[in-house]
Order: sequence, then structure tokens, then C-alpha cells
Amino acid sequence: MEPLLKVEELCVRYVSGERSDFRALRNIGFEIYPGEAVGILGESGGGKSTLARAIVGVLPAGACTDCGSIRFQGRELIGLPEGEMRQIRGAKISLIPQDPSAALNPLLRVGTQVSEVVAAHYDWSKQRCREAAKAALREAGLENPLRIYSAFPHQLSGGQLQRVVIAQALACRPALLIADEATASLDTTTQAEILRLLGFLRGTLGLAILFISHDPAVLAEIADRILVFYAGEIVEEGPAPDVLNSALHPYSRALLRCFPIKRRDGDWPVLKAIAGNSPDIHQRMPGCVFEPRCEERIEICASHSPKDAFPCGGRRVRCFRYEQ
Amino acid sequence: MKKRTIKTALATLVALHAIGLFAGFFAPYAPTIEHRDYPYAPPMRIHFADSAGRWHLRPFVYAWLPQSTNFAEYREDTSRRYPLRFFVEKPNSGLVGTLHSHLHLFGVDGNRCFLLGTDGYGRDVLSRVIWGSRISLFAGLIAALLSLAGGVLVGSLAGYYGGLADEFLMRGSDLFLAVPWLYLLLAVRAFLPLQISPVQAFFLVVLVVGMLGWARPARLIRGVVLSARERNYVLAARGFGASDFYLLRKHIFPQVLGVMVTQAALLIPQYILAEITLSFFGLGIGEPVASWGNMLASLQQYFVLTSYWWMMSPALMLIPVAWAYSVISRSLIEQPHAFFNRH
Repeated sequence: MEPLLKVEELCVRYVSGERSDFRALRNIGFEIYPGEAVGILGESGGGKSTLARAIVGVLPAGACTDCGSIRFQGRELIGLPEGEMRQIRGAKISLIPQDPSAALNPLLRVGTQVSEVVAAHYDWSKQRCREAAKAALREAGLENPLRIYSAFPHQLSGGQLQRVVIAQALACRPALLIADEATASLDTTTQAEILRLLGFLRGTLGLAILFISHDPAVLAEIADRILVFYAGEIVEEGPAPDVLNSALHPYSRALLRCFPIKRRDGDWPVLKAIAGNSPDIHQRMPGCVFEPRCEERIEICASHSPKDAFPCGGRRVRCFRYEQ
Repeated sequence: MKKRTIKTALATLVALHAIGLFAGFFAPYAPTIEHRDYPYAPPMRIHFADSAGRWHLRPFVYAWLPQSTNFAEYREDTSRRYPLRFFVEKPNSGLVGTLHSHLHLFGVDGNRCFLLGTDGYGRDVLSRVIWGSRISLFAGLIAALLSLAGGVLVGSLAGYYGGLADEFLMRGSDLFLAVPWLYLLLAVRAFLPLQISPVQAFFLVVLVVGMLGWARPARLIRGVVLSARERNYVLAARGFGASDFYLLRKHIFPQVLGVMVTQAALLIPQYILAEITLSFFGLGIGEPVASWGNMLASLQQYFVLTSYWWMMSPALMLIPVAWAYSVISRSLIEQPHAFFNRH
């Protein structure tokens, strides 16, 4: 099957500003197939959000894609003119930003903000855009779309706001939805509802989802496949249950030890923090990015960068311990 | 600041602008009507009691009797009272046009009425102050809007696009900030022909003042746009396919509005003063059209300054204007909720 999104050797670097010369993403490569849900796991500062913004082409000021390719439905997105890219954003690929309460303009009614996403992509009458927006709000699980439509963001709860943002994202029926920490600011019960909603929409609309989170429990709920990010690199990839239950990369294992996930044998793991900090962005060291914090390092780790290894079915890990 | 003070300031400004706009109604005379036999007549006193000591309910004035002994010396002619009347009809405005009315707020029957005296040509000073406010107040207002429009344009482009455009526009504004504006104004005005019609002169002054002042608002607005475009909802809207123009108009411009209003309140009085300064030097709006600046120009003559105090009344009018604008700009900065909060 043809992948919906194919990212190859993607590098993002800051060329100006205080983070100048910082390589936010290094040699990222992965694929998403239609209807698939891929989770990205990693701690903050690992480049997860940068990846999301690179795919839709809204990188922060000073950052640019250095090399690599992003192919969406067979079409190269890097170097695409801004006008054509705008036709893709929101219509074919939607980005749900972090923190829904900050993602909506407090001065505008939420309905307006949904219907204008439709208006940005279709030459429809105002009335038709409004109807489409109301339908999207209903689809996003808001019981009273008419009331919500004319409400201001401050009148809604966090969960409702998240649903509004989802309505914005889905109003134009995109093929790919990128959710950047979409549930991080919500309480656990609302989080579960939103995850259920996304799962349901994925089933009914045939939507592919790239779900970014720092929480393995959330990814266990929604993702088919998981990519583990560390310091701008994908250190491990594999089917979600495999990665969560038997992680290969030392970082993945260390990260999962920080969360209380019940193991297969019914025991609770002993929680353990990872020693040290994320690497300093200005320092560029030879060798594996995780080497300074790694408990299983060997001699070669400090001097050479590991290559991707493919130890068993559908799994990939960037570590010398698995290189033959 | 007390809410009552702010309200008073707002009411003062509204009233002054309304009086200027409907000058034909509020002013007893047209600004160009000359009463040649009454040069430098002092303000007429409003009496309630006549020379015999009898009290009258309706206030009245006495006519001025020119003295043959000396130039511009007058004595009250107490032989006849001229009661003040409101809403008098007088087809004497001498000018035609929609805003020149035949109905006047007040006047007296059968005699002249100079409540603020006359100037050297016998023109009623009160009427000229009222007609002049139309020029002076609105020149400041229009010039401020003009330079704010320039500031918003330059500031949003520089702040939104950043990079080279930002450098280029902001170094340009540095240039404008570094030049002392009064001398630049004099230079620009000196460069242009001396004899131009009053309407042309008005628009020239407005244009020159307005075009020179865009730099400071542009800087402030650039700063606001710079922080506004990093807001999450601007990023979110961009992620949903919004165009640059849409983002500027719908998400960024509303955040700039507050700064714009405050800047307007600071700029307008400055620009009113600029017009007055130019006209005072004879480089702004010329005679016979009345402007506060060219009315004050006659004070350059020493005998006018020392003998006829009422010729300074346009300068006195600046006090309420400057006070009202400073109250409004200060309260906009210190307590914006007094204006923008509906609760």
C-alpha cells in the first residue's frame, strides 16, 4: 500500500535567533499509512512539536528544513509554494495545537473560528460554511452545537474547547490529523473521552492520526505504532504493544520505567527517573545522543553514531547493542 | 483618575468638535465679515442691571461708541439696551453652503454683538475662534489618523514578516525619528509655493504633519505585532490554512487597536500644536480663513500683545483641548478598562 505520509532523512535546524545552529531534528524517517494511528513518544525538548510544525510547514521563526523530504499523497511538501501549502493545511493535513484554551482567539466566537476554516478552503457562501461548521461541532461530540457556535472561548470548559479545536481540524475532512499533546492539558476523564472520540472519528472517517504525547498510557490507548523521540532523533520504532511492553532502546526502557504501567506478569514496575538532563542544545558531541545518560553504554557509543538496526518484525532501533 | 474626570474630558472634546463642525450655527458671524468701523473693539460686557440701576431678567449689552480722540477707544452707549436673543435668524453669514446656517445660537437685534471683541479689521474674535477650531482641531485629528495609518502599515509589515523587511523599515523609521520635526516641517513648507489656496494649504499641512509622524507609532505597533504573531491561536489558525492577510486582519489587528487608540490620544494634541505653530509662522493656513495659529500671528506685533488681551483667546482655547486629550491618554494607559470594559 502507498504510504499517506513518507518522511525521509528530515533535518530541521535553527539558522538565526538565540537557538542559532541548533539541530532540532536529525535524520528523521518514518511512514504513515491511510487510516493508521502513529504515536510519538518522548520527553519535552525532544523535537516532537518541531516535527509536527515541519510537516505542515509552520516552523517557528529562525528554523528551516535543512534537507530530507516529506511526501504527502505522493507529493513533495518541502519547497512547495506558500499558496499551495496553504491549500493543504487544514484541508488535507490538520494540526491540533497544544493547549486548546490558547489555540482559540478569545475575541472571536468559536463558531466563527470553525466556519472560517471552511471558508479558507472552499468558495462557499457564508450560510453554507456556517452549516458545515455546525455539522463539524456536532461531529466533534458537542451536544448543543447551536449554543456552542455563538459562545466565546472563555464560556466553555477545557474539554469543550478541545472538541471545538477538533471540529476546526476535521471541518474540511483532512486525510491526516496531527495532534500535538492534544490531551495534555485536560483532566484524566476528559482525556479518555477525547481519545475515544478521536478513535471513533478515525474509524468513521478513515483518518490517519499522528499523535504526539509524553504519556505512554495515552499512546497505549490510541496508537498502532510508536516512534520514540530523543533529542531530535527517532531512537526506536515498533508496534505499540511491543514498544510499550518490551522496549529495545535503553532510552525507551528508561523512559517507560518513569511511568506506572502494569507489566504483563501483573507486577507494578519500580519507578525510576533517568539520571542527567536532556543534552545541551548548543553542545554537539560525537557519538550516540543518549550516551551521556545511558546505563548500558559501551566503548563505541561515545565516538560513533549508531545506525538503524532492524532486530525483528517491524521494529527499528538506533543502538549499537542491536547492530550486527 | 476618577470616572467623572474622564467623562468630563470626553464631553469637552465632543462639545468642542461639535461646535467646530456646526460653526455656522454657533458662531454669530462668518469668519470673514469685517466691521471696519470697530477695529480692536473690546469684548462687550453682558449686563443684568442698566445704568439707572434697574434689574432685567434678560441679559443685555450696550453698543460701543467709538471715541474720536484716539484709535480703537470705545465707550459704552448706555442710552439703549440690546437684549441677547437665542436662536436668531440672520441671513448675514455671507457665505453659502450646507454648513453655513441662517439660524444662529445667539445674537442681538439692531446692533453688533462682539462677546470676545474684534481684531484689527473689526472681525468678531469669538466667531473666528469657533470657525478656526474647525480647521485646527480637525487638522490635528486627520493628521493623527494619517500617521497612525502609516504606522499600522509599516509596523505590522515589519513585525509580521521580520527579517530583512523589518530591518529596512525600522532603520527608515530611525531616520524619521532622528530628524527634528519642526525644522523638517519648515523646510518642507519652504520648499513649496508660498501662495496657495486655503483648502490646499489645509491639506498640505495635514499631509506634511501626518506623513512625518508615522515612525513612533510604527515602532510601538511593530512590538505588539511581534508578540501577537507568536500567540498560539495565530499559530493554530496558520496551521488550519489561514492566509497572512487574514491573520493580520482578524487575529493581529484587534490586539493593535489598544495601542492605536492610546497613540491617537497622544498624537492629536501634538499635531494640533504643529498646525498652530506652522500657521503662526505664516506657513500654514493663510488669511482670511481663520485658524487658531494665524489668529495668534497678529500677536507678533508688540502693540497687539500689550493692548488687546482678547486677541490671545485662541491660545486659551488650547487649554481645555490639551487637558482633555491628556486626561484621555493618561487614563487609556493607566486604566484602559474604563473605556473597554462594558461591565
